[in-house]
Amino acid sequence: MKMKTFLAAAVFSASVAAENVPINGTVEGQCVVIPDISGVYGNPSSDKLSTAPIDGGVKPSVRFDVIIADYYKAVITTPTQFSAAPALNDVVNWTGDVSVKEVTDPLMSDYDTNKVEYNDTTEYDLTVAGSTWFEMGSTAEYGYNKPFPAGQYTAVVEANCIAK
Amino acid sequence: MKSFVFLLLFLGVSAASAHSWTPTYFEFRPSHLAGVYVTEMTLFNKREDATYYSVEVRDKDFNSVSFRTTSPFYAIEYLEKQKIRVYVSQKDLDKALYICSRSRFPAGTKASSLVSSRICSKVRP
Repeated sequence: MKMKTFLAAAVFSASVAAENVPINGTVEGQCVVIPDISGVYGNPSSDKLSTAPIDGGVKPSVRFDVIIADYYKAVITTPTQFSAAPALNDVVNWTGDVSVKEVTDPLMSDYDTNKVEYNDTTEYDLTVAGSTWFEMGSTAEYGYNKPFPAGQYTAVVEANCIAK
Repeated sequence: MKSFVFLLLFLGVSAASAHSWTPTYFEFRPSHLAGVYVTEMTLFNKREDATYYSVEVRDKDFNSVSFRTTSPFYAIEYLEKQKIRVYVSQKDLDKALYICSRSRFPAGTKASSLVSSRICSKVRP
């Protein structure tokens, strides 16, 4: 009798233990911003700095990874000032552009068509899960035919990933 | 074996210099201080070129909202993950729509072109 009771209790406790091992998981959107290529300004003329390859520059690029579609938008702002430069005593005129360079899903092919541009900022709605590489062009022109002073110039591109 | 090696290389490259900020949607809960709410965010620095990060709280128009954290800037080493508590007073609770982390470069950093990354999470709808 004692043996039967023990066995019954053992079977019961085993079944209880087996039923109480939950595995919970939550899938949430996540955005990862990955600077891919650091840009380089070329100096095609004394009054111009440009990241365009034709001007001897390298365009910076950044990758956005989103795990779930339609959770985030990419907002990229090209430079409008130098973060480090020799002393400048004239106006610098800035132009910039952003475009999609590579995608991991063909459905992202219309990102450039649907982008919204204002001031020096470009917004992309990340409506497809996966990775998107964006490349940024930046040009700085100094005064009127004035040469940039010799020295090192640094400008910062802002890559924002904003939850919708 | 070849595909395994390729995968490792791919993962290595893809994880080389990223910045992540989670959760995507956060919730404020009452803190141990009366009238002050708190939420906990996690910053994972996988950027080799960035060590310093700042936190921002923004309203719907991306104007600054008053908040407190333990530090105005966080020095987070490469591959380090840090939990950051963000405190907002009850009067600002309705305005605090986004909490963002932004990579920062020390003044005078020399490089031709830098990429500053900012990721913004949103209050849970």
